[in-house]
Amino acid sequence: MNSKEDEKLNNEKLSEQAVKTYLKDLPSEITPERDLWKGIEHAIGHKAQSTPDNRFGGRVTTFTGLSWAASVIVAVLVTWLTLEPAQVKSEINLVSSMQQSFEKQKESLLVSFGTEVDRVLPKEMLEQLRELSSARETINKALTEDPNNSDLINLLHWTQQQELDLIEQLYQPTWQSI
Amino acid sequence: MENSKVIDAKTLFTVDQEQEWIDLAKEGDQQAFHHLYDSYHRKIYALCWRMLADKEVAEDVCQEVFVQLWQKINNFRGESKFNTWLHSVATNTVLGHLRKNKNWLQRVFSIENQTIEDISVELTDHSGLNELDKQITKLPERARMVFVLFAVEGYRHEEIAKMMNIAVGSSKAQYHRAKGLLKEWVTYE
Repeated sequence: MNSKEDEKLNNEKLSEQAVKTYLKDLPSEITPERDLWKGIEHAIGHKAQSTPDNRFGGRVTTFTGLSWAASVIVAVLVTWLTLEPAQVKSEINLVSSMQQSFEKQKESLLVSFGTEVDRVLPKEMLEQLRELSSARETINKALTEDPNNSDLINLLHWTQQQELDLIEQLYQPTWQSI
Repeated sequence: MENSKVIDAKTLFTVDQEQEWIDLAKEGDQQAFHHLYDSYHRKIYALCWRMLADKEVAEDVCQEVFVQLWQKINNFRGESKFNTWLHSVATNTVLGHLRKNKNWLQRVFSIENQTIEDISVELTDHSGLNELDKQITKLPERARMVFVLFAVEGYRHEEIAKMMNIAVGSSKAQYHRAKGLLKEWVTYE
């Protein structure tokens, strides 16, 4: 019994040691198989550099579409809520899970901005973020009245996604030209 | 003694040279930026490859890192070493890539998108790689990310938890899970 335990302990030590040794010998560099520079060169030829004071300068135009989208959501919801009667109130785990996951992702994206977010973002972008956020709140309210409405759930998911994409674009430009 | 003087001078030269490339790249000099790429792309590719466990995706994301670097280089104010700053840009780019590529069900329910078996099937040509690198690619995604960030990149669990939006305890648990699997694999394979 003792010898078996000793053997197990020995194996444990050996494997611990092996991982440590491999880790120590892990190369800090790996060479990619293809030449990556060509794609990068092509991309940076078309992309302007940001300046510390104007980090979002080139991206304002991409938000016009999202602004429209947010406005459309609000309009659709106002119509919807005036036509739809209040229905059964019940807890929906899916909706709260979606909301929790969304809040987590949003928080993690906003971590990059720290407390600067209001200061560094242009007014138009802040306005669009607020519109999307308000649309999402309205959908959430509607879902408490009508928790089984799959269209509303889809709309909530779409709105959350738009909001995340918008935040993501603020500090992570899309990768299209390579 | 003489030797150490030579090394110091060489290091100083490299640091000065690198700072010059950074300054020129900030002004839009693509040639200087190419020098920075030459110095760092293998390190960044190693990070991408280990975190993503897929050669082609790692190549794409590595390119993305350098495009981001080009766009954000003016934000580098020299408060940390350039290498450290670049690695944080790369880590955020990899994590952003993974976030973007998860479908909404995986985002909602935090489902790990690959099991150990799924990943093993993908392994094809890893010849010439360090033994541990081969095993790292077999780890489940979250365990792999935490292991690479903690054991290879030297981040603290608190930092990893913040970056990955998980609890510090989860980061530690994933690290132990990864280490346990690696210990098993390096012993018995």
